[in-house]
Amino acid sequence: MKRETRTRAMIGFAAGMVAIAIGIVVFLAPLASTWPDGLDSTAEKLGFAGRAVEGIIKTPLADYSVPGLPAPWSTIVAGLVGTVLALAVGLGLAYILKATRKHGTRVSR
Amino acid sequence: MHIPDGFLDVKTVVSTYALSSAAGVASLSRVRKKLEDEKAPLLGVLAAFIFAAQMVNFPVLNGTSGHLIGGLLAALLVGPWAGFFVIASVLFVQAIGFQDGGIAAFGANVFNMAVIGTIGAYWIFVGVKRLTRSYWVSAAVAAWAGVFLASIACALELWASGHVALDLVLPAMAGVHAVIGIGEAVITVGVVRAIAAVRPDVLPDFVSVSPQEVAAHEA
Repeated sequence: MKRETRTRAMIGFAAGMVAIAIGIVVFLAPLASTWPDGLDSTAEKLGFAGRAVEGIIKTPLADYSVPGLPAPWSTIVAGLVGTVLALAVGLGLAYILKATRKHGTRVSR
Repeated sequence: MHIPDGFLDVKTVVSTYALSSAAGVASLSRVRKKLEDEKAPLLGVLAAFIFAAQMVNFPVLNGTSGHLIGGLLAALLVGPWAGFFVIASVLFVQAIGFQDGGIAAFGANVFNMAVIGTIGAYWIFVGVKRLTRSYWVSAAVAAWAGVFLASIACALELWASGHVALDLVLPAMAGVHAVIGIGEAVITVGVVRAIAAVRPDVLPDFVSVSPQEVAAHEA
């Protein structure tokens, strides 16, 4: 495959993965189990759960919910914001990694 | 297994930040050398996908849930070093934006899930693949082992912080994550199988095309 074809194919794959991520947030995240996860349930069972300090940094989206929005929208909106943030952080990192590469280096198969 | 603030003491916070920073520096130079230009956007795409997938807790034993970590999944697509940055990005967004995982505990969470659960899981994948020659068996075993070993690292950090006895926290964490790891293996194999069916070219260890074939194709 030529470079342009490879790049276009990769963009197609990327768009598909983002679309599926949005689908997961909209259709699956609201159905997620609300039981404590492995660490939280262990902490409760062994009696150190109370040591948790919430919110050294206060954020409006704590616990994947938007204050004032009813379920399932609360979860969906929080999840979509997080998905976009994760996309932005990952793309930003990729850009920095490429930009700080030694001059003239191009990595390709 | 996102550790909140308050569970770890200062020495554990400092030493896990140091270990994770060292892994970050090592990954940085390898990613710069090895990440193909075309694949760079996948760092963001995988972070978004794994963030979304981590929201979907599935029930396991007796009132406990678990969710995907996605470390091996990321490593199978972009390699272990770029995979480190994918999982670290997800953990960063969760800690800063959602209070899922503490700020002081960020170093420990990165160590458990991005170092052990991603780079470590990928090494296990490579080792098992050498033995079994099966991509899928290796992926399943490594996905499970990544979660299991990450939970052991987590248990050791909790014990080192002096708030809980090792003979209690180690079996509790390892036991429940031995079950959650089955979910990790099922989801990882399922997602990678789906990708292999439509786009095997994005899985570097799945299709091993010889340089001659690539040259013939490009000519």
